[in-house]
Amino acid sequence: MFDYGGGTRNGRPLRAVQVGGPLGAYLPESQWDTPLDYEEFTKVGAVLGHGGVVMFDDSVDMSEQARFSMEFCVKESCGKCTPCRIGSTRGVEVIDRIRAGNKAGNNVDANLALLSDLCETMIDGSLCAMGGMTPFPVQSAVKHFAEDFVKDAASNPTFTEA
Amino acid sequence: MLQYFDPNKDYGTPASLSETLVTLEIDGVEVEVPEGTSVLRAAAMANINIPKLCASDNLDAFGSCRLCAVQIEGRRGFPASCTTPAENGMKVRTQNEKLAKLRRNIMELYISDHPLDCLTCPANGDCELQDMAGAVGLREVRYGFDGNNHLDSAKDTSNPYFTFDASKCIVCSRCVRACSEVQGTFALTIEGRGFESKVAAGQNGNFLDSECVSCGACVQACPTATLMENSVIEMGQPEHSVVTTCAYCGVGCSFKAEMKGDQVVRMMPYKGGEANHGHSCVKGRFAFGYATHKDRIRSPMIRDSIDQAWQEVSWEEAIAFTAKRLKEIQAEHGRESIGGISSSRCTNEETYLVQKLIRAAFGNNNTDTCARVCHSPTGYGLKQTLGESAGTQTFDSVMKSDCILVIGANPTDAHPVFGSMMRRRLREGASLIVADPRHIDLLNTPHHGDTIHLPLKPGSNVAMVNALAHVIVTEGLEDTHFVSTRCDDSAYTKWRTFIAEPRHAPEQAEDITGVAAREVRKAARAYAMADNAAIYYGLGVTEHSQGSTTVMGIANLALATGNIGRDGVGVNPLRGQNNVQGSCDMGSFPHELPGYQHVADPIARGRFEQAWGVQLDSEPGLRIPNMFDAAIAGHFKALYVQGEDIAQSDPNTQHVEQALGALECLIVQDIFLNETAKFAHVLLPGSTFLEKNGTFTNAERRINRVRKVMSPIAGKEDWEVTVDLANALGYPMSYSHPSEIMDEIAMLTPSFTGVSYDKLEQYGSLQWPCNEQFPIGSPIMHVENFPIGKARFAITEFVPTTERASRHFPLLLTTGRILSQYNVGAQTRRTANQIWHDEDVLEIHAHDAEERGINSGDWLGISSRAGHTVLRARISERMQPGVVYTTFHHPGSGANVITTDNSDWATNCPEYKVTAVQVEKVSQPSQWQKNFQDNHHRQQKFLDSANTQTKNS
Repeated sequence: MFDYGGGTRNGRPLRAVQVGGPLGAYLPESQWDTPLDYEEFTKVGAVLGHGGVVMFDDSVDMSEQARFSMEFCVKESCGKCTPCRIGSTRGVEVIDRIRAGNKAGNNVDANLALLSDLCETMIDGSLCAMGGMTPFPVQSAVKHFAEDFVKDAASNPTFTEA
Repeated sequence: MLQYFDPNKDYGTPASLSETLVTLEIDGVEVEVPEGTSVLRAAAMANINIPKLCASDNLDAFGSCRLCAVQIEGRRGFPASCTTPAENGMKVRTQNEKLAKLRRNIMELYISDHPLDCLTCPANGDCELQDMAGAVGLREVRYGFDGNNHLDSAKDTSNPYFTFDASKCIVCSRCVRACSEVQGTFALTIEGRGFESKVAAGQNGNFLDSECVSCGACVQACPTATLMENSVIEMGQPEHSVVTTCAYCGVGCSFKAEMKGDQVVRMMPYKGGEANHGHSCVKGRFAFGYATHKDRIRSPMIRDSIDQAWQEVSWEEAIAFTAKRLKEIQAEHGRESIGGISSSRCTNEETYLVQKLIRAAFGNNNTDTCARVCHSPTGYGLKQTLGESAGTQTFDSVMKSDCILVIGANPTDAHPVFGSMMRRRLREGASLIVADPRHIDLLNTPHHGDTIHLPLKPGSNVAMVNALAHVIVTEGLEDTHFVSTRCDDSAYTKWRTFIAEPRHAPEQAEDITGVAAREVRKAARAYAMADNAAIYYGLGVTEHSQGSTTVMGIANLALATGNIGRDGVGVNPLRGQNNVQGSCDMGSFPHELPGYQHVADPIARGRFEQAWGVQLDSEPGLRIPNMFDAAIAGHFKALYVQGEDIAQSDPNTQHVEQALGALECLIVQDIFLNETAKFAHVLLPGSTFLEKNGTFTNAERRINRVRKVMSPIAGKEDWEVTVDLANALGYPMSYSHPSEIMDEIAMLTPSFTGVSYDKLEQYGSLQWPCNEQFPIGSPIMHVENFPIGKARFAITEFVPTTERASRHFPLLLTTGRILSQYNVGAQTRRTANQIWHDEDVLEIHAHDAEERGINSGDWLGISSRAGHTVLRARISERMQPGVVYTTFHHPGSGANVITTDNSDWATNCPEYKVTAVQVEKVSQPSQWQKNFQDNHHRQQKFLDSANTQTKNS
């Protein structure tokens, strides 16, 4: 990333890396030394996918990136199976509620728990890899960049991986 | 009923036909199933019911709802059990905490885009979505209901029988798949992608304007209220149901009449029905409203002359009046001056009683039936060649056919449920040959295999069949082993010499048939060289001056190629009416006692004389056309007609009307004031199939039970009326239930000796012959032997009809029917089916239309040497130049005013399919049509005044 890619274009610090395309997980700094290899990537919940590497500097809002993953699935879903067809649309909506923060009638924790369930449902239930992998970037964003989802300091994310 | 599966249960995926068995373990239970069975079905067979929404056992597995996910030892993830085939040694878990959570979460997604109006929803009480929400224990929808959704989608109410409420759709695709896989119409699709996916009819228009044929398969498949019968929306869920048999065409579909008290809420095709396997068409499924139509005749009526108003009387009075008139006429004009006509619409038991009444109580053989005008040549032709007057196969046999030859039949319109099965086989790759003047819809089957259309000229069937046989014989395509072992040698040798003559070559026939020899040769080879080739034919074969000859020619084809006696082959007449087969079997013809036993045969006749306690006439009586002629000549004076509208359905209407007008006493037993009843002196109210017990026999010789679901509207089932009439005439008949009539039939009919209501109850249905030799019936005939020992080839010389196109009548008219209307239309015209076909039109090729300056919608005068009528024009690509076509569903059309007295040489079956006509633009109805309207209003007034009298008294 630094040798071949030359770091970020504007020189700001690198914050997150997505490997393997829009369905690949986001890797935090602690995983940047993972060898480019199927098994090693699988161990950290990531995929090699098409091998592309996309780097994000520290201006990135990872909750927006998580939303983008679900939105990508909304656009790409063929609509045959339920988890992907309805799940992706609900995914965007739930992330929007999380991003809106705690306020009347909107509990971030509850929505994070719901997002966790939804990701699990899509992984376990989808017919193909489109719906089955869409949660990878979402889950990794929440796991490694929780602070981007919980803007209210009082809240304590309870998000767990499937 | 004895079934290999529970017809009321949905096993999720279709049965596998494999004979190899595999054993697996599901939730610790060992299950053995045929290879290829899905895990979902295997579980269901062990009564382990995995939740499902998109799966149904009449559709291929789809795997979209994901509710049927399971865990399999040694496999990753949560495979859908519907798309996973069972394998030896597999260990499956269908329930655990992880699966429960997955299913609940999927259900939660569904419900996040579904209205929460269960209590006011028409599917309440019959909703799989509701059931599954209950099964998975859904307790909350955490997504809320403010997200993106389809709750505001508009309803499509364009179809008269069902409503499409898109707001309730869960996009399981069952409707789309049912339309494709079960019905084969492909009218429905999923439009859009992802969350925007939605069910659409055609190019996103409404259902009515799409290619939808209203078979109801989508409505039946829908697990929610998205596609729902309007009758259920109006009336609510039924509370009980009765399995019975449809009274429309000869397919004989089984239905569950779903009831609320004595009201039919809906007719649901019954999965246990062997003829239809749970499929239906628009008529059987939806067009039952005629049964309670206001036009139903509700009490007996009499009058002295047809120029008088009707007088409502009691049953006793009507029967006494009738018996007295019949006796007086016989006393004055002789025993043979009266007769009767049985109905292919009525049950076997009723038909049997009518011919018994005529033979035993009238004392003559002047009995005939409406099969005279449809399939009498089948009876004759198949008996001559194969030894039995019936089709050789069971419907399911077509699923083993590699080549399907359809001659003069239009299955997708006239036998729609069987047409769908045929289409399924065509999609699997069977080749299709259609010999028909018109481009019938079967030729438009989506995803079909090889297809050859032989668009022959009307009246050239024999030349065509001979040309096909000539190719088979001269190109060495015969099955010599079959011929030498199963066929009579001398008949074969004669036939072979005859058919090999060069004058039968396709090149010679070209001038007669108008079909290129190349195509005929191709078709003959395809038929002869297929492993299994089957022939299906209809009235386009029989209703000709050489109808019987063509039937024999068809049998020759099957015999020469060895296509008889096993699955996938055979000679299959597609019977028009629900009980044509049965009415013929029951001895309705003037020369044959029940079971096709000739009246001149002293042994057979003796058995009937002994059982009936009377002397029987050994001379055949009058056929229907003979009755007409004799009436006009003045020596045939009275006629009892049960459930047939001869004034509308028989050819040369003016001749029929003259005959009916000449009768001194016409007794009509019918559910409506039909055209014949306008000439009647006694009108006895008939009962519909919903109002009686009995049996119908379909085109595959299947005897199906008809079960009463409501009381007869006028108090009597049809058979009871015949019994009363016999008793009043002094011939005692005493039966307390139709089962007793069937017992008598079984006693006297060799092919029925094994039939009884108990056995029908046990097996669901039985295909005759059902006797000592075949105790549970015979799905396929002539497997080992023919009833006559060896089959006999018949010489089939082509003799052109005298009805030829000429300078005065340059076009050939052929008649037929369409999907939404049924025969004379007495029933379907009194239903919402009218929306599809509220008038008969004349279809004409663009070339013929242009020559005459005709546009679609113009009034056309159609003249033949028999008569003249007026219909609207429709320019149609289905026609060939020189041929015009119409239907006869509406009496005012006068389609049969133009058809002629020509008939089959052997059986007098009318030549409906060939009438030379001229057409021209006109501005007003024909004289006959004006008279028809006048008479209609007059007779309707006579009926109305009888009703008013009763109300006032």
